[in-house]
Amino acid sequence: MDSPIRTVLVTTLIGAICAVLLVGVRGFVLANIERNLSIDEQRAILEALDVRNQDGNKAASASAAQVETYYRQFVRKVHGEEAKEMEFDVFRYFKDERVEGTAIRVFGKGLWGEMRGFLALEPKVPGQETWTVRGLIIYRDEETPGLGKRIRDEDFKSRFRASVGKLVPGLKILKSEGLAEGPYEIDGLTSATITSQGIQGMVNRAIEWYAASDLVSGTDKGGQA
Amino acid sequence: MSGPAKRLIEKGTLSDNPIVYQILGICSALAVTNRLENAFLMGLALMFVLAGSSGLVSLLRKVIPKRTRMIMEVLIIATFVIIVDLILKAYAWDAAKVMGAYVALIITNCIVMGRAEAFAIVNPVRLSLLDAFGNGIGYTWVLLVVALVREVLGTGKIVFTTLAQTEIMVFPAPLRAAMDGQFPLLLILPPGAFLVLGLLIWVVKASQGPEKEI
Repeated sequence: MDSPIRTVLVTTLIGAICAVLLVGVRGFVLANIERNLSIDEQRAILEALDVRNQDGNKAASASAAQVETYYRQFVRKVHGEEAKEMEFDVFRYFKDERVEGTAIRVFGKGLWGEMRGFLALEPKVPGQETWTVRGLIIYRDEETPGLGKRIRDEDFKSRFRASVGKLVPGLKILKSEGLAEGPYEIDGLTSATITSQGIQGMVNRAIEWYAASDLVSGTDKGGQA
Repeated sequence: MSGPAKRLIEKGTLSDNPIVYQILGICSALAVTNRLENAFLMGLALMFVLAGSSGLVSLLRKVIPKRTRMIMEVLIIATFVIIVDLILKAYAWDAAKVMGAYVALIITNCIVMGRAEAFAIVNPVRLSLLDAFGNGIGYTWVLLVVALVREVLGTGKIVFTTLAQTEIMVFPAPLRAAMDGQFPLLLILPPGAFLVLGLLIWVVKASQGPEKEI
């Protein structure tokens, strides 16, 4: 039988070897993983803003390297520090130096964990107190597959496109499909009420912050940058 | 290759195949086999973890204290699983997102723990590595066959995304037009995995003749 001291020593040593191995590998691949994460985020911004390339195709459907190019070409971050992740960062879609849309980072709690995404708005019409929603893309969530996870489906995303003309602030996401009436109501997901409510909360918090911020004046109205 | 080495590889791949004969590692074999590419990556991931953990367990078999033997094995397995997970996230991002949970679950894959506990802890490094590769190949080919059947018959095409974006249409155009894109969805859904794997196990066992009583 091994002595207890030897057991503790050997166990600690093997644990240390494993730890060193992991730290080494992590250091080696970290830059790549971070790039993949940032491409995911850029893709979500491009998709929320419905950015189109020269041929009119969706920029968000492109390959990873292309997404980075399109992002640099069309999107500018106008608010938010690089290091801080969890704040209402603001991104603008520029086409020929005109603002085509604004995307605000949204985040909040879903049923099982944090959800993150981008709410895109059409340029504000002068004189109006509301914005038309241009898109809503959730790119990170831990919702139930088949239920809350449907926030990733085309069907749910299409309820937020500019063509349906929904307005913020004051948006309500309802309990299920087929109920929405008027520009302030959007159909939620049946049997994913908490997810739907989470989305409603994060959208409204973001838009309330944005409406009160000094970013609204000037550039948001579709004028020069 | 010497006799015993050859026999180790043969046992792992065929006559004592971990999936077909030991019914181990079924969870991931069912879960990731709706796409050929994912099955292949999963096979590679498992082979890497199996070889790494069997090799290291075998190397340390004389110093690992008997009492904490299994904890040490799990620790070593977990280390290699995290390495695979990091590598997939860095170089095969799309696949990593799809297989995420299943890669982490390699830690509890019975094949890995089984080989460490049944073989590597009492055998020299060279034999342990051969045993690991044998079982790894055995696991991988079963996954590939199941995934090939499910993806081809269930979607009519094979899609690759990791190295290059390609789609291979398996059936000729007239047949595809006749099917109107309607392939048996069942094969892609979880029950399809049970059906195909069950049939495969039956075919392999039947082709080996009646089962010997032990």
